[in-house]
Amino acid sequence: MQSEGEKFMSGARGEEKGRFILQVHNPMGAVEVAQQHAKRLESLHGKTIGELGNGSWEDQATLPAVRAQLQQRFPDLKIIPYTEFPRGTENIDHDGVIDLLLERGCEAVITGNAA
Amino acid sequence: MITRQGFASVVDNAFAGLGFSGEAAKFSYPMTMFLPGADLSPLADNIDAVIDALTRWAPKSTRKTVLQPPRLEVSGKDYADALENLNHLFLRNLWSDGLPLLPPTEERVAALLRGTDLPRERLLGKLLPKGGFATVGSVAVAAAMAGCRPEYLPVLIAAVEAILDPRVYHQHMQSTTGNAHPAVIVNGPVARQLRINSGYGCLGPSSVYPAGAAIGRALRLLLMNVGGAIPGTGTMAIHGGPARYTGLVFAEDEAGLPADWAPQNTERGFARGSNTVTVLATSGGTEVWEGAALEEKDAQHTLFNFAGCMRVPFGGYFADTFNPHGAPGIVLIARGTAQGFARLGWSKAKIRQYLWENSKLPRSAWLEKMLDHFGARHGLYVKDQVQFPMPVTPAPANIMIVVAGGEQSGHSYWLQVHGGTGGPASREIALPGGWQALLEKAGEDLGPLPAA
Repeated sequence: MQSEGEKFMSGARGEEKGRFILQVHNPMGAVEVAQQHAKRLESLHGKTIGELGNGSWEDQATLPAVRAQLQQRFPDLKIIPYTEFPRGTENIDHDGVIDLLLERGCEAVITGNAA
Repeated sequence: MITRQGFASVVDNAFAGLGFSGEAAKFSYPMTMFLPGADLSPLADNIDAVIDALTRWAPKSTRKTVLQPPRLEVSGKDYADALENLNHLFLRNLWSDGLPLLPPTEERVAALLRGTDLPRERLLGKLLPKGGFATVGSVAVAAAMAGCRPEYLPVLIAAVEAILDPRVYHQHMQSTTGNAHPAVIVNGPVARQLRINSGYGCLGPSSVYPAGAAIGRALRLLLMNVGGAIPGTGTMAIHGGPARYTGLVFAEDEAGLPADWAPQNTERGFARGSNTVTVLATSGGTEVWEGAALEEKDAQHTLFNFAGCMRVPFGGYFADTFNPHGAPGIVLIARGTAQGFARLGWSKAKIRQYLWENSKLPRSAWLEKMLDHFGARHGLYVKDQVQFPMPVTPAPANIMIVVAGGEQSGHSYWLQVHGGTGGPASREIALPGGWQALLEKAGEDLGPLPAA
C-alpha cells in the first residue's frame, strides 16, 4: 500500500545510482534587495559624523566612548553628539531625522545600541 | 552600528526587512559592555572595527534584485531515509521547529494549492523582520511542511493577510523579547467543515479536530523561515512559550452563543455566518477557575475572578493602554457559562463594562515607573493626563469576548495581549471553486464530521 508520502511523491520521485532523491522547495521565501547601503567614506579626515542613540543599553556611555576614540585618532574629524538629535527608538525612526543629519552636514552616522 | 555579540543576525534581519541586503556595517561587543558601569575598554581595543565599518566595509550584494532561494535535493537509500536526511538538513539550516517535518515537494505543494484560486506568485506581503515574500506559494510550502490538508489553505492565507495588517504591527510580535504568538479565531461554517476546534480542548491538540494545529504550525514555520523569526537570532523572545509551536488556532462556538450575543466577527463588522479569521498577538494565558453562571452570585464570582486576572500591572498593557484600536486580551468562556450569563441578563456589553471598571489599576510607584518608561519611549501619552485608577484599555468595547471551550464550562480562560502590537485584525476567508470536492475528499480520508 502506498504511504502518504509516496502518494505525494509520485511525480518527484527519482532514483539515481541506487539513491532515492527528494526534490523540495526552499522554505525561506524570496527577499528583495530594493536599496543599496550608502557608500563608505574614503577616510575620516576632515569629515562630519552624526550620532543617533536609541536610548537603550547604555548608549549614553558607548557613543561618547566611540567618539573619544575616533577623535583621538582623527583630530580633524567632527562628531555631532547624539544629544543634538532626537533620541530613542521611535524618535529616530523617521525620515525627518535624516533631514536633520543632512542639515548638520553629516556624511556618516554611528548608531547604537542594538543589543 | 554598535551591536552586541549574538545580536548581529537580528541587525542583519532588520536591514533585510528595510530592503537592504541582509547585512549591515556593524561592530559587535560582548553583552557585558552594554550594562550600567561597564568596562568600555573593548571599544578602545577595537576602534579599527569602527573605522573599517565607516570606510572599507562593502556589502556582498551591490545591485537591486530579488533573491530567490534555490530548490533543494536531499537523497537517501529510500524514501524514509531521504525524509530523515531532509529533516536533519532543515534542522541544521534553522528551518525547523524541532518536530518532524513533511517534505515540501512540488507534488505536495501543488496539491495544497488546490485550496485556493489565487496564483502561487500572488504576494500577500513581506513578513518582517527579514522582509521575506509571503506569497501564496511560500505559504503552501510552509503548509506542506506542517502537514496541512488543501482545504486548510484558505484559512492560512487569511491568517497571513490579517497578520500583515498594519494594525497588528507584526514586526513587533516577530522580534520582541516578549513571548508573543498569534491567536487566530475562526468564525463561520468553514470552522466546522475544516474540523477546527471550538469545544473541549480547543487550545490544544486533538485527533478529532486536527486542523488548528496544522494551520498554526504552518503559520509558525512561515513566520520563522520567511519572516526571519528564528529563536535567538531573529526573535529575541526570552522564553518563547509552548504556544509558539502551533499558535492558538481555534473556532468560536457559534452554535453555543446565547441568542442575543453576536459572534465576535459580527461585532467586528462582518455579516453573520461569514467565514473570517481574527488575529491578535497574545503572550500568555490564565485559567480562570470559575465558569459557572447558574445564579447571579456565580456570575459575579466568575467576572470578579476575570477582572482579577486582568487587573495586574502587566507591562504588556502599557503599550496598548492608550491605543484606541487595541485589545487587552480575549475573554474565553464556554457555552454553558455564556448562556448562564445571558439568562441572568448579562449582555456582552454589560460584561465588558464590569470587567473594564473592575480591572482598573490603582496608582502605585511601579505603575508610575511603567508609565514614565513607556510614555517616554513610545510617546503615547502625557503622564500627567493619566487618570487613576487607570483602565487597562481605553474603552470596554476593546475587550474581546469569544465563546469557546468544553460544554461542561467549568473553567474559563484569559488570553492576554502581547503589548506593543497594534491590536486585532480580521480577514474574510476566500474559498476556491473546488471547495466542495476538497470537503468530500476530507470526508473520505477523515470520516464523517464530528457531531455539532
